[in-house]
Amino acid sequence: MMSIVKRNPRYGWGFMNLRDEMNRVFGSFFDEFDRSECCGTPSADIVEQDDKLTLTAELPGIDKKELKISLQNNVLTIEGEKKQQSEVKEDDYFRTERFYGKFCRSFTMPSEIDSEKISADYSNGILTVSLPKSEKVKPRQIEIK
Amino acid sequence: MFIQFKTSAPAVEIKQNEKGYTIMVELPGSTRDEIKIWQEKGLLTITGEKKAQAGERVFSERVFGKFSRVFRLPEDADFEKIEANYCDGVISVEIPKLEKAKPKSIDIK
Repeated sequence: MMSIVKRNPRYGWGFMNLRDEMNRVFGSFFDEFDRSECCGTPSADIVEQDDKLTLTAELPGIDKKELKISLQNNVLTIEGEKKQQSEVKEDDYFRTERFYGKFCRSFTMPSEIDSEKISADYSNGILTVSLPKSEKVKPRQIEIK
Repeated sequence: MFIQFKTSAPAVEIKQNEKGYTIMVELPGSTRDEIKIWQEKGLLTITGEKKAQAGERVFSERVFGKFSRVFRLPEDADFEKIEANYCDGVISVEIPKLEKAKPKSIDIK
């Protein structure tokens, strides 16, 4: 009989870098505390460009209205709730790996953000938050007089 | 219904009711064209690729690259009538049960 293998979303096909590999080898001790395994918090990436930061978070199957994004003291917080579409009896489930319920994540922004110009978009299960950097921290060329 | 997988892959939910089976797979960030689903010899395969956006990452948790999951369909599944739907990053595959496998009430004469 096949033993039950715990799903690890960090496993991949041929794109595993050293960090992921090390986490996989040594991470099993801390599996209980693994953010993505224990509480269903969404995975996120932050990409930095000269003038802005872009945060993308994986939130498949969520209602846009259930999402709340806020910025306070340069800490961006995303909270929401993923609701199950219909009540189904437990016996009818063969397998459930998906997470339902409330989640909340906060990210400290690496540079100051212009809170007036933040925009967010949700499509294909991805929340994209565009965070333009504040004028003060944008790189600026200085002319030599 | 047994599931085989070579590597861990997207999160899956499988449930059934009287009419059929539903397989839901979380594939956030993949477009409809990047996901392929096919059925062969009673195996349902979902594959695709999640492409990373360009730019310097200051924080990175998301996994990109190819994904694949294979499901063995039960004998009472109607292979001809499988339908798939993609909405908000979740693929739903509906597999109806064969007519003869559906529960039927029997009249008492």
